[in-house]
Amino acid sequence: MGTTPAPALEARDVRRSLPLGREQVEILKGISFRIDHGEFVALLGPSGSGKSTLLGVIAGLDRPTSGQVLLDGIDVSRMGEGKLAEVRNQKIGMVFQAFNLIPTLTALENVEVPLYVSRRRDGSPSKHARQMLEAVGLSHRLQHRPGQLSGGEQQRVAIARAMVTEPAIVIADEPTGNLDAANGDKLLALIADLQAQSNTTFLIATHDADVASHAARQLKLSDGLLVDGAEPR
Amino acid sequence: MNAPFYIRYTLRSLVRGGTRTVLAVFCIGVGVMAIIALQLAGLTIGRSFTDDIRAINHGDISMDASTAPLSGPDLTYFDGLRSSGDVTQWTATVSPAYTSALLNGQRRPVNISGIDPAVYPLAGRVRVESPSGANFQQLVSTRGNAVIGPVARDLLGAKLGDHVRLSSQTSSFEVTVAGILPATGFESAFNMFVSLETLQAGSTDPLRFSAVYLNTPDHARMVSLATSLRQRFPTAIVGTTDDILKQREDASSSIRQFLKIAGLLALLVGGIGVVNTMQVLLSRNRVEIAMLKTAGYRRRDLYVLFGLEAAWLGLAGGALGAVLGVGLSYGAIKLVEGILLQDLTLILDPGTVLSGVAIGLATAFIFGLLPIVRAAGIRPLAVLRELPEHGWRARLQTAGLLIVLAVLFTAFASVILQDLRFAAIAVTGTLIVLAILSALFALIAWGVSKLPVPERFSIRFIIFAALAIAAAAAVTIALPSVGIVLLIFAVLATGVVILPRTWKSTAKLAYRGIGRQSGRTAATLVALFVGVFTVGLMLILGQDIRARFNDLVAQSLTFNLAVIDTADRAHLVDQAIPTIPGLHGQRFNTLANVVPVALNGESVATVAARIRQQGDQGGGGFNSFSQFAQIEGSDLGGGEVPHITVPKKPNAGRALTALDAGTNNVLLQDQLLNKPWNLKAGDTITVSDQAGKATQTITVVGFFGNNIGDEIHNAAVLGDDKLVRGLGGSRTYGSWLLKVDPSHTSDAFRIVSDADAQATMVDFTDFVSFFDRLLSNVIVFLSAIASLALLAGIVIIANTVALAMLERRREIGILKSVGYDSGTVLSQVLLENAVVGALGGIAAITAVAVATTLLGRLVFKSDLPVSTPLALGIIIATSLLAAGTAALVAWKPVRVRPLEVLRYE
Ligand SMILES: Nc1ncnc2c1ncn2[C@@H]1O[C@H](COP(=O)(O)OP(=O)(O)O)[C@@H](O)[C@H]1O
Ligand SMILES: [Mg+2]
Repeated sequence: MGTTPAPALEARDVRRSLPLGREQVEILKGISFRIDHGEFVALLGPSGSGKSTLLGVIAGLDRPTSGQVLLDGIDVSRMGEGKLAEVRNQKIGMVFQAFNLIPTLTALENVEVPLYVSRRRDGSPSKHARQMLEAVGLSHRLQHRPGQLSGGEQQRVAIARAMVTEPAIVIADEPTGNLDAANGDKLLALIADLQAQSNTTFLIATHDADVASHAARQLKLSDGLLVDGAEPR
Repeated sequence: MNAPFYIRYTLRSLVRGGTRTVLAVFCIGVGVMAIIALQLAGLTIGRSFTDDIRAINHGDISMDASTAPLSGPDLTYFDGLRSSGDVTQWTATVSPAYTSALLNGQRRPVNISGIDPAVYPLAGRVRVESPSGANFQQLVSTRGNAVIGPVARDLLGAKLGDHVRLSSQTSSFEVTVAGILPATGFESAFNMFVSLETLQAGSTDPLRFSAVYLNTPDHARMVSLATSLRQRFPTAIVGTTDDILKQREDASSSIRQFLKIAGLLALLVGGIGVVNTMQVLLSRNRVEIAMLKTAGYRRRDLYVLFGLEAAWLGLAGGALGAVLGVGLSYGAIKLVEGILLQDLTLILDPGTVLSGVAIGLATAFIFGLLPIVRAAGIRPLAVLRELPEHGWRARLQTAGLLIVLAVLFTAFASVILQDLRFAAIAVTGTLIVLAILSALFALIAWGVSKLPVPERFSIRFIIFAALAIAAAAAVTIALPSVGIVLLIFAVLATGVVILPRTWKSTAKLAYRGIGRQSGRTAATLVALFVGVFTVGLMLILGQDIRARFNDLVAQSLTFNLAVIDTADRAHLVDQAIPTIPGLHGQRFNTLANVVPVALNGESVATVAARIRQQGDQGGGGFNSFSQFAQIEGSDLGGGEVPHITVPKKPNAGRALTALDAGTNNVLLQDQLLNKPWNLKAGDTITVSDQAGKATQTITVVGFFGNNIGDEIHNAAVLGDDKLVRGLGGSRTYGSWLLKVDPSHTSDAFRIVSDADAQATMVDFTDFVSFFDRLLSNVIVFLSAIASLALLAGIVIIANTVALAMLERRREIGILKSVGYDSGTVLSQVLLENAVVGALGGIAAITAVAVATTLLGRLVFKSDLPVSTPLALGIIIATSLLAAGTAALVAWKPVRVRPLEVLRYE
């Protein structure tokens, strides 16, 4: 890995303003950083520092007011919606604080969901999804619905769903926010494991320094500015 | 694309939708059901209207010669036509005038129809109801048998095997009731059929034929024969199957168009339910949709996904609707049979039934479009952060989608109606009306949300309340019932001040809740308004029409009984009448049948030819010479002047006075002022007696109106008693109109028949029940269609509340975490919807009151008041309906556990 000259993710002077009442408030005030393939990076910052806003921009769910976001060397900040959807499907996996699984689908089907619209057609979705659920330790929960799973298990399904397309980067926003300390630690250990095994790039946003310490590098965000860790070591 | 997944996902999400899914399927189902049932009914009516034309016409050509009945020798002409090959078959029937039937000691008028059972009818078959399976022709051909129509049977109180004595001017004979015809059929329900042989056997005079029916070998000869018949018999009404077909096609196509529009309306209503329900279904899945988007699903993928979801709903709804529609069409046909008094055999056209599924699919797609595009356009970030969607953008999009929806629905409507222009006008018109209503109701909702709920009586509040009450009182002057209703509600709203504090806060939250989603509240109000308005209008008009109808019988029929006897025996009846108990009034007239010979010296043949040239085919009714065939006489010299009103029209002349006694001056019904007759005061009419021996020229001095409430007359020509007796000779009849207490009608019947067994009697209320039945059928039919609109209102309320509950889940959680209980939250929702219901009800009743007042003034020329209890009842019912629906939907959501919704904060 790492043979590509382009980094997995590069942000160039990303700015984002949001309307607050009549004024525009600059939430992200010019953020630049680089994450190489296979890195495990934490985005650490207090609540309200702009982590979620930044992740939204990176994931192509939101557009920067100015600046560029390059995923695998491709600029996603000015892409059309259809193309963006494809990029999200192939290059990004997302994990949220609130799990956000589809309640009507089984764990296995939830993991299969991204594969149904995937351009890549190698092997059956079901096989990939099974493997992924096995990797997160849920091979015994394939046919359970989200409602029948614990919080920790739901988040593991969410991680499996994020990774099943073999994305360039997995982005997680406070993935342990809805879990108790013990389950949070277990989940982080799992992420570290998966990261090491698959060499997938991970970016985890958190306000908790303990959580961030599981990562190999920490991007420190404060009041819309990166204060530390912008370059890979 | 992965088909199995798409199918699985959509089906499961519909299953999760639960009642909402059922509701969507139901909405489509109801719409499709209505359209299928009405299409089938339309098809059936159209088919029977045009299929049985020859049967309806009793042959290729029918000729009504009752104005100048034909005698035996006249008929040789038709024999000639037959031998020349112009006619393949013909038959003539006899309907003597002034016929009556005596049964159980009472004499009632009947239409006797003497037919030749060997050839009659020339087309179609006359069905016999009882004895079932009997053959009409066989029954009639037996000498002394009669087959009788259902109304005649009811009037006589006859049953099979009864011996009835029939009398006319020239005959008297006894028949046995051998068969009874069904209520629906081609033959008149008033008729009593006997064979010519039976009729002749009891007659002193030769038969005079009043109708001739002919079959022709081909269409060309039918047309040319009709023309020559019209020339030969100028006062006769000649009708070909072409004429009937044209009339019937016009009637049938307007009935079908009406039914289709009603069906479309139902579909529109169902469609609105679909928009609403899909919106609820999809907004429940907002987070899920956002999730799919973050996983890389494009809009296109989501369109396919939700399109499929809509397709399931459409398929299920279409299938349900098709099944229900077939069932409903049986009911619809029965109703229509009752209205048209015609036999209908339901045509279960498989294409139409199957098209139900297609219609269901189209409805689901068209009306699903709006929520689907909205859902697919969800911005994941907004959902995940729980932000509102871009305000103006979403609104612009909605507006655009509404236009697309209108265009699609227009296209759809034009396919069903097969008339693009009409469909476009109808849909655009509907949309404009709906838009205006929505704007109006949004304003009202906004106003209600600003209603004050002060802690105590402040000066401002008192002034405000006083103004409101005064305004309500002012309305009372123009629309009494609406004003009273408004007054009640104004007082209620003022009374809020004295409620305990918790109730007040509930009221306040409810008022504000109405304003919060003023757009949605407006939609609910529009739906309720339309529903309650149509149902209310039907109820009030329906009730009113029936009430007026009965009034008409009670008062305008100032008289409820009629006695007819030959004038030479009048003294017998005259002596008996004063002895009738409960007699309140009476009027006596003489009647004579005459034959019109000339108008203003111009022979009827010439007049008829001129009218035909002007394009009037002489198709009966006001175009017919039969209007001149009967004259009613009053004893002008004795002060018995007819109480009529002369219409305020040019040439309408004057009324008859005592000075007209002994003259040939007459009044004509005011229809004769119009085309094609264009008669005026000063014109003359030459008539002959029935035997054609003596002629007499009478002078028109004026016209009389024919309005509801006017005195009833037996003829279109009114003159002096002496004139009538002169023309009628020994065949002059006397007619007594009597007002007798209903409890004494049977006494009256007995007394009169004791005085003279030949006197014929009629009880007008016998006819009333017949028309009343007809009227209730019409009202039931219209109400059924109207209540569909109300259904839409309920569905929309259910969905609006469901949406509000979804959106307010968190809010409810918070309220509960600070100590509200489920009951308080629920009562706020209930009050909110009760107020919305009451608003919709008040608006609808106001509109109904305005509409009925206008209708009353402009159409019925009298007041059509809306009764206050009915108005209040409708408003309270609407309010309860709204609150009840809301309770049903909100029951579960308000019981949400706060932790559940607040967990992720
Ligand atoms: N839609 C929005 N409009 C205005 N301000 C917003 C919006 N979303 C977030 N913010 C503001 O942006 C800042 C950063 O928010 P966020 O990215 O959620 O921070 P974090 O995820 O680090 O807690 C906060 O101050 C928040 O108030
Ligand atoms: Mg955040």
